[in-house]
Amino acid sequence: MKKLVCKTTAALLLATLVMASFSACTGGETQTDINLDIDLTQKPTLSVLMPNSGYDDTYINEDPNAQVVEDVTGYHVEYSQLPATNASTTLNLQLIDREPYNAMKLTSAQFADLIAQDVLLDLTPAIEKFGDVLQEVISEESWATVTVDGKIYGIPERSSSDNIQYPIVFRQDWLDELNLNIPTTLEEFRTVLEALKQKMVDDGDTVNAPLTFDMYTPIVWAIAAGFGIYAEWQEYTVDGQTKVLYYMDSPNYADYVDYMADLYADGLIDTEVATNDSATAISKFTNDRAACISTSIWSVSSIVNGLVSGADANTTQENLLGYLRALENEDGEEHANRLGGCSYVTCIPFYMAENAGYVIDWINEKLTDTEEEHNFRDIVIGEEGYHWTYNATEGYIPLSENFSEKDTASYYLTGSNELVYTQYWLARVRKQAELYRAWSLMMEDADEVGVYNVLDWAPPLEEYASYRSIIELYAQDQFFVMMIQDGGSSNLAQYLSTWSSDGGAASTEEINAWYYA
Amino acid sequence: MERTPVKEQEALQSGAQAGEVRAESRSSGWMKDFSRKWKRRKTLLLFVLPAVVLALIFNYLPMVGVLIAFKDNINFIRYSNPLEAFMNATWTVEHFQKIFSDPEILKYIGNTLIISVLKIVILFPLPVVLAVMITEVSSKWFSKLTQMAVFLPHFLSWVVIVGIFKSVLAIDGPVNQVLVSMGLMDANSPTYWFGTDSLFRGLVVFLSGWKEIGYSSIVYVSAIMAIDPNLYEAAKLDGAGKFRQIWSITLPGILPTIIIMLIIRVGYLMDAGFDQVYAMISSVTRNSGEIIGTYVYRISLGENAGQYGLSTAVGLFNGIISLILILFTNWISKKTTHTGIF
Repeated sequence: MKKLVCKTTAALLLATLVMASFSACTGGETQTDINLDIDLTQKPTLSVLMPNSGYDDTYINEDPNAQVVEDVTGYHVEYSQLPATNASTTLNLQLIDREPYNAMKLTSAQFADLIAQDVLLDLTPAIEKFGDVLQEVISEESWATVTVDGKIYGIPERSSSDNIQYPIVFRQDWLDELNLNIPTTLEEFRTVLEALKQKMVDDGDTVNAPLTFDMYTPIVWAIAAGFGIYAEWQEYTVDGQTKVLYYMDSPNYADYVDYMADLYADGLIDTEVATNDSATAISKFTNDRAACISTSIWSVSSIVNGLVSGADANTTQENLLGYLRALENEDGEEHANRLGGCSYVTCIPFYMAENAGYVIDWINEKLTDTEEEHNFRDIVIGEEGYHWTYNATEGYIPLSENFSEKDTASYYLTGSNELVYTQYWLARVRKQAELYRAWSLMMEDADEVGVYNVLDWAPPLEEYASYRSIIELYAQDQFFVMMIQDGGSSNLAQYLSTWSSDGGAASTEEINAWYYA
Repeated sequence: MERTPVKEQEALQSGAQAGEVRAESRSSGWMKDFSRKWKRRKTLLLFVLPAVVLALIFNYLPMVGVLIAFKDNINFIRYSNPLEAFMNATWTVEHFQKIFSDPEILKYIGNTLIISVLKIVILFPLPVVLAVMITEVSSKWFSKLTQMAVFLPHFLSWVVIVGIFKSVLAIDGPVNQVLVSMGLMDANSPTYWFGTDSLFRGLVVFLSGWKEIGYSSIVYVSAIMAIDPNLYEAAKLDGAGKFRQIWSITLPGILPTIIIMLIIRVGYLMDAGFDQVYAMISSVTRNSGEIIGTYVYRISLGENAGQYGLSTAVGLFNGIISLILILFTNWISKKTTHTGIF
């Protein structure tokens, strides 16, 4: 009895101690109004949080490109970065600790998460006062992705180019040996794969398959195009009604799954696709253990280096690599998945309102690109005559060895000058001749052929933001389950119903409400 | 551990003395008892104090945080004061509902328990066996070398180990090639090790063993070294062979160590090795491989990083089950071998 009394008193004391300690840490008043009366000549040092760069903190602060940014803007910046893993968790923890970041460059998903928690500063007054260039060079669509209830919460950074970037890369030399062309229809595709498989068997490899991809591929866009599926969220007409649906929900998805399952069962798709990581898939392709690979064109440089030791960046590899952009659908038309939208958003935590004006001024300076001040151009591609040259027909051309200094330049962008970025960026693509050739092939008639994800230009949508990762991962998983274990789409209805109740239905509804509003 | 000879004596002593004092009055007897014990043990208490303070601050105080499991996602960023943030969130049981509403949850709990039990049953005895073998080897340099070689994998991260084994066990990798050439595997359909649901749990146990057996055996090696060598001499004189010595001296000598390690290990039953399973799992092995940890990670993945309520709820659930298991195992151990942690 005494022991019990002792223990309960101790417990109560403990509890009160805890409560007291929590209330003891008061934050005091937080300044949440932007100071618009700042003196732009007295530039403070800015502290900016960046995404993970793959290099350490000292490196990103000492990189010559960081110096270029400082030279053109006049602001000294201290960069810090998020870790490679658990970036969003770290971000949340740092915000709880009220880390004094003047600005943060975040992915659009992280941005949506912070919007939902209502912790970002409304930048509209600062942009109106200090961001004249911003208002000019950033497009309406881009602003729409960061505007909630009429207020702007971040500076969007539109991707350098709306790329069509998921081809199936073929071994052109093998195709030439077999007198085959890059296939254009679903039937031709199967025939080509069978011929390639036969060649592999004849060469002594009975285990590997012609087509490979990695486990992070939710859908092989080049093949899905044959079934009318071109983007993650796209408009379909079902029973006379037009609505926006996820690819898993689309009318012909079952046929796509059955087609892939048949290829898998016949040994035409790599058995290990469900467990390949990206490096493994590429190494299979470069080591003759696969004849074609569904990957992004940005892997082309490493593919070339893997296939040709000591590859020269200035030579193209037409004899070695061929590209299939998208198979024709049942009407004989080619449409391809095109990426758009804003990859990054630069925003400010609500408790750093005081110096928000300086941040906007800083970004404003970075995006300026006029005859007198080519700030943006200096940051992205550097000096004329040293890093690049220009001619009217080809545009901006990199000067090889010096240009590699500019490799990290895009990392330091916080917002892009949409009027000129694409042209400058092409200089970077030109660094590797084969990459440029691949990109040009993919981008032929991009405006006619490309289909955007309907959500590329959407503002943060609450329901979708909270369910997004679950439903995407579920759809990706079930594709492999259906292809490998179920042998087809027999259980698709059941998986779709789970997908819907996991948040798919709520997201679809919200997206349609926004799209057709 | 509870019953040691010295403590028994003291118990008897203080019991006798307390008996006299109790005759007077209850409360003053209790106070005198306490002050006497205090005088005798104050230096000992001083030694224990730092650990107690640490445990209080880092283990007991945070327990209040369990209440987060019953609150809708608390916005710690908006409010600088955690208490204020706590008060501004609504009470809810939706996190528990979310965990238990997934019909697959029983499967995930089942997977967690099965993988954990398999690991204990198969991998718990092995370090003991290895420790005995290492100490029985007569050549000192060989046993040191083996010990070192065997405990190195512990320092590799799971991502590295899974990467290594994925190459070794690739469909056209060395293991399959050897098996095919020995005729034990069909050349046209070699085993897809990491992608076969039925093999997943076995693979998990195997990899875990490969990584941890060496490191875990260190504790037992030191426990074996602590056994009085005279016992072995005496046994040899009585004509005991190697195996008899091991069975009757070594094993009983390290039994208390084994029991403690086992009870502690059982406390981690609900953690079937998140790092490992997360690195190994793929879409086609979720059926037998998805554990509670990977499930929770999946539903609160990535960008939904502010899901404190949900993760606390799962932590609470895991904690309660682990507590029940530890109490139960400790009780069984007390009943059968008279040793326990408390």
